[in-house]
Amino acid sequence: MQYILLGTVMFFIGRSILLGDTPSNADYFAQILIYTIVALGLNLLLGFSGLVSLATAAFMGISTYGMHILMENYEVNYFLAALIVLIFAGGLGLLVGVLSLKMQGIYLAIATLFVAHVIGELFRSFEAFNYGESARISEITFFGETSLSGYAQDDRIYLMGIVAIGLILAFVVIHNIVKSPSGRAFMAISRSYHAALAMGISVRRYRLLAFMIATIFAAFGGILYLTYMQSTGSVDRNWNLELSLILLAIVVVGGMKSLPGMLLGAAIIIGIPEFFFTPFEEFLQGFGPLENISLRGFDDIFTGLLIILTILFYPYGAIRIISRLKHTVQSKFQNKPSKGGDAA
Amino acid sequence: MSENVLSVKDLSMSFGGLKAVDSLSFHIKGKEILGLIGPNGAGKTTVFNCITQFYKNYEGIVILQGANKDKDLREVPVHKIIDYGIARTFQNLELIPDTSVMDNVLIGAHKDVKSNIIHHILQFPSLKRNEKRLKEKAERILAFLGIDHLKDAYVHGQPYGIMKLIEIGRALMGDPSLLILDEPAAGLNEKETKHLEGIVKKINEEYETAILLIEHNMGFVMDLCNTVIAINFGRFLAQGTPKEVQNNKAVQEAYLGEAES
Amino acid sequence: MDISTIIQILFNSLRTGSIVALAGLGIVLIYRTSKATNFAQGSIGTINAFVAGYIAHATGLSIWTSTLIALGTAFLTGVIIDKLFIRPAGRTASPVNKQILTLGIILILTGIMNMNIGILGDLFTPRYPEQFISSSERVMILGRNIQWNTIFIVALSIFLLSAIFLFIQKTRWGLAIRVTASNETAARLMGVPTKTVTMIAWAVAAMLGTIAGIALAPRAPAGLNPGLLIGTQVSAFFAAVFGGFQSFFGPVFAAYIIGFLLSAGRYGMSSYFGQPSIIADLIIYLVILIILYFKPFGIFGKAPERKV
Repeated sequence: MQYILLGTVMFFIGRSILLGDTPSNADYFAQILIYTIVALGLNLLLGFSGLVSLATAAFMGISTYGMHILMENYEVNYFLAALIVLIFAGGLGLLVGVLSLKMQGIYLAIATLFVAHVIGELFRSFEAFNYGESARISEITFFGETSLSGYAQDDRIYLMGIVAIGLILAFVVIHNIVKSPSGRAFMAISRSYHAALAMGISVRRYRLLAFMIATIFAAFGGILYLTYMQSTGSVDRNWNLELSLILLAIVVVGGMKSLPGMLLGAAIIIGIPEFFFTPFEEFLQGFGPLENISLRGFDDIFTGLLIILTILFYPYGAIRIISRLKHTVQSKFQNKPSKGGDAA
Repeated sequence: MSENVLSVKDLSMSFGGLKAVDSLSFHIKGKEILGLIGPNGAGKTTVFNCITQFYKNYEGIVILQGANKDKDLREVPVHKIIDYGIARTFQNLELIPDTSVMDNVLIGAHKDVKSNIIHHILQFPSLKRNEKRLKEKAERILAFLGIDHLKDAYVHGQPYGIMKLIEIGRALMGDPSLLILDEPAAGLNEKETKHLEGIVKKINEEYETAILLIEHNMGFVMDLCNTVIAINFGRFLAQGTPKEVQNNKAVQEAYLGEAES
Repeated sequence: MDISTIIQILFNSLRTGSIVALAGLGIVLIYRTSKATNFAQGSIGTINAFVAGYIAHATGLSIWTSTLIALGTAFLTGVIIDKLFIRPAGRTASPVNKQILTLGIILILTGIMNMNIGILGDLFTPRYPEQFISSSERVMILGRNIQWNTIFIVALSIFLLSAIFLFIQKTRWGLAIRVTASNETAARLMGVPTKTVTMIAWAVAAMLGTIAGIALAPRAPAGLNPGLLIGTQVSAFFAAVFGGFQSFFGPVFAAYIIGFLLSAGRYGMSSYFGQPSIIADLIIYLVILIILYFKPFGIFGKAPERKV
């Protein structure tokens, strides 16, 4: 399928970054891929079911610390640890969802705000979580034989491969859901709530399902983060409300209900600040009077503005702009009137 | 006419202090087309919402008469009503604009989808077979309605009359024994209205479905309905054949100034 | 437990409750008139609190004067956000999209608060602003030395909340607010200037949030920083839901109840159980969620009957 092609292309891009001049850029590239995976799950919740979650980053953090504790303190095998973390995430999603989804969708947003806040504080308070500070893991051992560490460059290429495989998996799963009766049900509850009920769709059950899937995808993203970066990340700098908002931005700006849009959104929101703002800041610092200038804060402003512009002017997201461009170019070639009338 | 399909007894519904429906009683017989008429604000859609259980705190009872036993519909959650063979359309169209007509109609078959999300993720072969079956059924229904050429088009941007047909198509996917139509002809021009009349008649005859409808278009009501019930201020006014109700003095007074035939 | 501890918890509760009530009333005002869930309430309050803190620090003006100036910028902030972002989205965007809009505003405000260019770097340097009344001014109540500042904050909040309550209940503009809140289309048809009403709602909410921030900052663990009001906002949202989004003052009462539960709970958790106080927050909020599961419209609220 086309996703295997996409995943392979992504892998080779990542590999070439690792072998190139600035291998540290590969970290940001891996982040783009990982956030795409999380965004795919969040898309099911926000784009298809119309619900906001503010705890996505918190669930990523839970899974990185969970993996760390299981692997370092209890010496659990990598795959088993991943499985435990995913099941735990699903269970937590179920609990939070059941408590909050009884009535209006706004409750989920408030409940996830609370979950994110409390989890952050909890991690900062206990030594088991390194008081919220980042913690590294020693190398990952597969099947008792191969072990991959984040230090050897060859190993990191394999780790990038693992992330790419994760990306393919995520795309395939969400694609299958969206094209199925479940996908239709998700769309119905966000766009035609009463009709959905009248046609036999249990809105509560599907909202719960969407939230659980989003949570599991967030945990999956966290597992891959830990795998590639070989560190849990820190509660303050990584798994905070800001990241949850950035992930929502990726879904919105990329294009709600579009799958390839998630990769586009991640590339825009993570890629542009990292690959444009930072060099631009250095460029500015080259000029005498500006040598201490800092563009800190601009990435958030950039992301926030994109969200607002998208909601107000391009609600279908960047992916629609690109497909419109494609249509216009195609129809100019074929001399047919271009109309956005047909569903793909 | 066969025996009753649905009975409504002493139905009352209040919002705040306002009584929208006041002790209304009627029944629908099998394969009958029953029209509910009344001036604007007479409480007709409220009656529908009570019957289909979107409102639960009404007074009175709504009973579905089955082959074996009767069922008090208040015990049924709103999303299970379709399991009892009752399907409805909405006054304010509730379609998904940015999806195809086919996908919108397929939603009507949701209750017949036996697979769960795990099957969907793993793409079991049974899923493919069932999807094919449902799509063929949807195509038949769309052809019946005369809009199968639009099956892959987006709903967004379709003419209003077409969207009304799509909603009806969606309701038919569940093989209802009772079809509830809320102002199906609203906003339609003459040609579209005549077409819809033919469709409703065909549905009643070929699918043997009882039909309960709200309509303001008197010509539509006169041509189609076996029985008409007129209400005003939520209260019963008259019942009978369309001609009888049209000639009823109380009904004429209620409609004074709203003549439309 | 001796009486002086009870007094301490009592005044802590009133102080916390007051701050949450101010933030919560802002949220409900916006929700009911503008039909938008304002997740940016905390950020708006924080950024204007920074203004007050900086002015007091850099110019030597008293915190009172600085606060007044910050209220002015808060007013402007509310008006700008409503006119520039919320109103234009009013017709085209769904409720979810308006929520996302406010999330975008959080990011923009957070970005601004992190900026380090020229004067902005000084403006947004985390600091501990002075209290309204110096912390050395205290009064002995039943064995406990209570700061006058705490009493002032509580009194100020109750005064503001009462004033707004009377305004909404007794004045013509208050009537306009109530009518817009219950049905904006009908209100517009009746000639109510709904655009002005929502603008005022946003402006007032911004000002309430700012006062909450300025009151909270001097004794907050990290002082005046971009995340100052996040914890308060969580409590404020819970207060809004718990007290019932359908009324203006159910949430205010709920805010004080939550303030009491949090103060008492945290004290008990750290003194009696020796655990971090966040566990108290967790338990209390979980209990509220469970209560909400059975009473989804809050303890004071009623279910709105929606037209299908």
